[in-house]
Amino acid sequence: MDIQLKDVSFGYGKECILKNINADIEKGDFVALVGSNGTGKSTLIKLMLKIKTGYTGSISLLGTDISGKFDYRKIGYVAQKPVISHFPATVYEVITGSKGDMSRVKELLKTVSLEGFEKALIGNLSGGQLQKTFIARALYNNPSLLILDEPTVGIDHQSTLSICKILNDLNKKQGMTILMTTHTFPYIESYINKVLFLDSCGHAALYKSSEMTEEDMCRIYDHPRKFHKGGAAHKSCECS
Amino acid sequence: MEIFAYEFMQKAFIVALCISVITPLIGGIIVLKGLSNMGEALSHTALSGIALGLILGINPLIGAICFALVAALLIEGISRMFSGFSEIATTVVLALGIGLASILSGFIGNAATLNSYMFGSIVATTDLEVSLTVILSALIIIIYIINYKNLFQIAFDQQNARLNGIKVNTVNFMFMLLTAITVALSCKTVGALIVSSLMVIPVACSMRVSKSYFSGVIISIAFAAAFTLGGLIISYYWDIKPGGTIVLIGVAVLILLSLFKRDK
Repeated sequence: MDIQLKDVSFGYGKECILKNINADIEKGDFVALVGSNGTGKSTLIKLMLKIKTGYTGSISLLGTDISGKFDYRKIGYVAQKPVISHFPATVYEVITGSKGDMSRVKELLKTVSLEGFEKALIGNLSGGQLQKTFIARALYNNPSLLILDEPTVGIDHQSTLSICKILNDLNKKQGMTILMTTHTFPYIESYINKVLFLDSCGHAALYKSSEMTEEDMCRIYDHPRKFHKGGAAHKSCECS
Repeated sequence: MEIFAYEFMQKAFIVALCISVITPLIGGIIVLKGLSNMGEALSHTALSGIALGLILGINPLIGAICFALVAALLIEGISRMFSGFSEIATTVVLALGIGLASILSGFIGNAATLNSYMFGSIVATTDLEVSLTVILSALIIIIYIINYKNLFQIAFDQQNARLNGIKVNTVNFMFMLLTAITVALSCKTVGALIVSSLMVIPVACSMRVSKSYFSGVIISIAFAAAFTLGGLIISYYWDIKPGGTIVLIGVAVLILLSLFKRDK
């Protein structure tokens, strides 16, 4: 398993954001993590990356429990919002973390459809180009697992299509495991093989795309308050 | 040139050259991290260290370094209390520093001596201060070069730097100490009231013309050297304060560069 979540719970004070999340994401899966705003998608990502701590249960990445020491260089991560886009650095410097292998950078820029941009200042890039640069940066250390937190937010339609296609190529051609939170599910629907859905009660359900029913699809698109019995996977939800 | 015939000017140029390298190195990171006020807080606290040094008869530069180091630790500690509001920490420490300096100044016999540290007095540099400046500047440069990649990654994206295995807290702490030493060393040259300008203006100038982060670092050093050495020469021949001259040259160049914006 590349990602294994066992009874993961997390909250702030008395408010429980995530309740007993269980999910197994296998090598080569392309998983969309979906749910309404405030259901804990980004929180779950941050728990996996130890950006937030204080959860109960266990989280394992690439077969290793992260509660101990974990080398996060094995994982590529693209955050929700690009940071300091006006930072006076080139695409090459951002991807390598100041300096590194130029041939590797050029190879990655080809992967993300940004050939010839290595010397461009990131402040001069469009939103889509900037996000592709951050994807290239996440791939620089050859990770086998890529985690993205809403990589297409604030990006135009064409760039979103382009980014989703890049991720699909990474998954299908290079066998990369991808977990991606998204509010733009239709863009990614045809590429993913699993959906991890968080509801507003803090529970999660992992669906295989091929086994999803109409009811499951309605649940994902309409973000209902509760699960109901039925569908490829379900959990009862007891919201007070 | 006649100016270099004098020993005091030779010492001044050595110190100026050292300062013009370390201030933009440190200033670049400070600007990119959005901590431009940190220089102010450290320099005002260094001023209180200078005042105490003058009262106790200890070399003021040593007093400045000690107090600036304490101020750096205070800023780090208070920042952690107010996570996400680092400007509270810099403002608190600035208030502490200027308050202390104000009170201690009343106990100094010769007020003109403290004034020289407020506005700079590079031409009155002792041999000890030259040695201290050269050695500490070399140390700062070496540590910066060794941590170049770490500092870049932390300034650009601290969260990602942590995921890349960089010990962010340790590097940040080390950087605070380097900043404190840089500020203390620069107080004598340009004055405690002007130090933060020397840390920021050359960086701002380089951001107008540089085509990469690395070239920006080199260009900011070139600008700082031009301002500092040019300011010294002008202040010598025109008999005006060197600190203010250095900074005003920098401001003038920044305005000129801003008038000719780089095309995208």
